[in-house]
Order: sequence, then C-alpha cells, then structure tokens
Amino acid sequence: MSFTKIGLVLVILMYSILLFNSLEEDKLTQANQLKTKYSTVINNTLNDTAYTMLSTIKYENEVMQLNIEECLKTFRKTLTVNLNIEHSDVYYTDFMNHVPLILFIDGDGLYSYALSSTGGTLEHVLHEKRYFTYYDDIEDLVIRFTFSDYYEIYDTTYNLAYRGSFSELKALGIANSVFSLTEDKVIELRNKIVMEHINNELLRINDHNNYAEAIGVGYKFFIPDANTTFTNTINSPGIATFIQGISLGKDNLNVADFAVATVVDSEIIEGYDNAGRLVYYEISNPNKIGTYVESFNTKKEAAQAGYYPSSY
Amino acid sequence: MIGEFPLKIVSFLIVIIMILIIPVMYQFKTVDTVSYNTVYEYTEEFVTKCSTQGQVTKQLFENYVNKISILGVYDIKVEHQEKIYVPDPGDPALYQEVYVSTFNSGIFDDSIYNTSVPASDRVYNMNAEDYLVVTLNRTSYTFYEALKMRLTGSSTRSGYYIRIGEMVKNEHN
Repeated sequence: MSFTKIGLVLVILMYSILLFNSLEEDKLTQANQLKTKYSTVINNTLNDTAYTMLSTIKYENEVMQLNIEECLKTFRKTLTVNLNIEHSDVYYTDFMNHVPLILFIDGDGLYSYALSSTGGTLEHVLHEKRYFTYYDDIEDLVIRFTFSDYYEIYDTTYNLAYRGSFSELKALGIANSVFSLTEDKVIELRNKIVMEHINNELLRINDHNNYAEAIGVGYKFFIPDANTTFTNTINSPGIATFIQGISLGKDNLNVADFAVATVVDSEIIEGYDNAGRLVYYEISNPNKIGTYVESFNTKKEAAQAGYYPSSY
Repeated sequence: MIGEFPLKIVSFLIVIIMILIIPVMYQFKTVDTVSYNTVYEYTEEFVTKCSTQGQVTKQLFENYVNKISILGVYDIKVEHQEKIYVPDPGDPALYQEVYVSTFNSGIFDDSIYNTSVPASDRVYNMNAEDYLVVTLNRTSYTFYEALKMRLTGSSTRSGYYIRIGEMVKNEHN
C-alpha cells in the first residue's frame, strides 16, 4: 500500500471522528444557549415578581403581608412575555408543568403554589397559609414567630393571646422555654422553624411525582433540602421557585433551578446634575440640588455611571 | 499511471478540505457561538437599563446598536406594552388590566428621532409596571453559515432569535 492510500484511510477515519464530534458539539452548544435563555427568563421573572411583591406589600402589626395574587399575575406576565407565549394558555400550562412549586414566604408564614392533583387532573393550587408556629409543650402554649420583632403567644387552655415585641413578652414571664433565651437564640430557633416549614412544603413535589408516575411520565422531580440550600438566606419574606425537567435538546431533563428573591430594604438612588457636577441622592432625601438625570438601583451603579455622593 | 491520476486529485482535494477549510470552519463556528452569547448579554443589558430608568433614550439605544452591529445585521423590534385599566364589561365594580403595545415607529419615529420637538424632549417615557420587550432576529449571514451552506448544499441557516422582556420599575418624572 502506498503512502497516499494510507493517508487517505487515515483522513477518512479522522474526518468521521470529527463529524461525530461536531454533531455532539452542536447539541451541547444548543443546550448551552437554551440554558442561558431559560436562566435569563427565570431571573427576569423572579426580579419582576419581587418588584411587585415589594410594591404591593402591606403591614399588619408590623408584619409584612404579601399580595400573592398580584405576584402570580406578574410571574405569569413576565414569563409569557419572555417566552413569547402571551396569548396561549396551552403553552403556559405546558411550561408550568415544569414548575412543581412556588413558595411565597410571608412575614409570618408561607404559602405554596403547587402542582397538586385535584380529582384526576394536575393543577396549580394556592394552598392555605402555614404560619411559623412552635408548640411549647411544658406550658401548653403556641408561639407564632414573624420575621420582625413581633411575637404572638396563644394559651389554648384559657383561650388567651399575648402579642408584642421580644422585650415586652419577656417581661411578662410566660413561655419561658422560648422567652427566657437571649434574642439571638430565639432568632436562631425561629430560623430553624422556618426551615422545617419550608421542608414540609417541599414534600408537595412528591404529590406531583406520584401523579406523573401514574400517567407514565419518566421525569422525576427531585426534592431539594432546604437546610443545605437556604440556611442563613431566609430571614425576610421572599419567593422561591422550583423549575425542573425542561428539555434542552441534548438531554431530556436538566434545569433544576432554585432561586430566592429576598426583600432587601434599599432605596432608589437618583442622579442629579448640579451645574456640571454629578451627584446622587437617596430618593427620600429632601435636599436634592440640581436637575434630575437618571435613576439607579444601587449606589454602586450610580458611582459606576460617574455620580458622586452628596457628602463627598 | 493513468489509474492513479484521479486518486491523486481526490487526495489533493481532501487535503485542501482537511487542512484549510475545516479548521477555518471550526474557528468561525466558535465565533458564532460567542457572538450569540454577546448579543444576548447586550440585549439583556439594554432592556434592564431602560426598564430601570423608565425611559428609552437615544444614547442608550445607540450604544446598544453600536455594540451589536459589529457582530452582524439585525432586525430589532422594540415593543412597549403600556398597562392600562379599563372597566370590566361583566362586572361594573371591577376593572381589567390591559396592555397596549407601541412598536418601533411609535418609539423611534415619534419620540427619539422626532426632529419636530426640541432635542431635550426626544426621549420615550414609560410608566412603572409597563413592559419593555426587545425582539431581535439576525438577518445577516455569518462566514460559518455561508461556508457550511456552500459545502453541504443545504439552504437552511441557523440564525437566531432573541426575545427579552422586563417590567418597567421606575418612572421618569
């Protein structure tokens, strides 16, 4: 065999390997692009929902109460706008089949908007609110925690209720198993209770799994563990969304997305032009000088755009 | 001697393809992937900036177009969905939320590039809770696409389509 022929055989071999590699690479690239797309969509959706959450929040006894209906409206709107399925219920339902659970964490409890079987069909249902409660079995009391400095104690034997801040309730001298601790320890206990509640709600994903198995769907939603993912992150109201099993081309299952939008008390920053000097102010500042130019979410963004703080 | 002649031509062609064209194609394929990601990021940045500021300005739009035009020719559709409240025909005590869309001509011809208004008024303002949606289609052919179409004889092109929408979060007053 001449060199040319050996060369030809080698070339054909290499070419076929390259061809297969290229096909594989195409799929990977496609999967990657879809992943970018979906994570942007989910990010935008959560951002906008968090914005609605903030703008519609109400306070009852200093405890934040979310407007779930408005939040869900925004969730749907941003999601469908991004996926270009605004006017199609079918596609929306199809996407939502990949969202087994949305958790709305309120100031004193949590709502779960979960796929649940309602007599043969699987639908998203807003379940009843679960309060962050703790049962004190020594004094037979139920203690309700909130994310602010506000507690409620129910005495089930005498039908009494006590409400107030930590120091007020501590002064009363009841529920000693909780209120005799230091405030830090109580907050730790509260966070533990919140985690337990979240973990319980996550089990709703199981409902969906059972149903999906019954109708022959191969994908099984996995149940994340709130303790490992959420520790130290939840100390204010927020939203957690679980999106799983969207087809990305290469594999049939992938995105197991897990995102929290927590409310951070921050103010909008406004940039002003004061005779050529660019200054930024918090929106509530009454002594703004100059002409308004633009708004920023954070002081960092304002500084990036060339604005100085007013005290600088 | 005569029998070996076609074989030599074939091997010569294969060598050309192997050594020259295929590496070049791979290189440009990578460029295409990177360009998609870049355009995606810039589009996201543009939408986020506009929805944070509550307005589309000439500067923001031109910055965005300048950045992406290096990578190709696009068909950009900017859509502003204004949220309005109308009475509910079924129940007079309730209202409905309706979104009314304004597209490119309303945003660019009537506001940003409208020469009949003073230069300082040439911005497009939006209200909080409206939506700003940018849809982008690449209309130009990349080098990789053109080469692939020549080599394989296919007429389908990958192209791409990006759609990003966000809620307007601040109002300009």
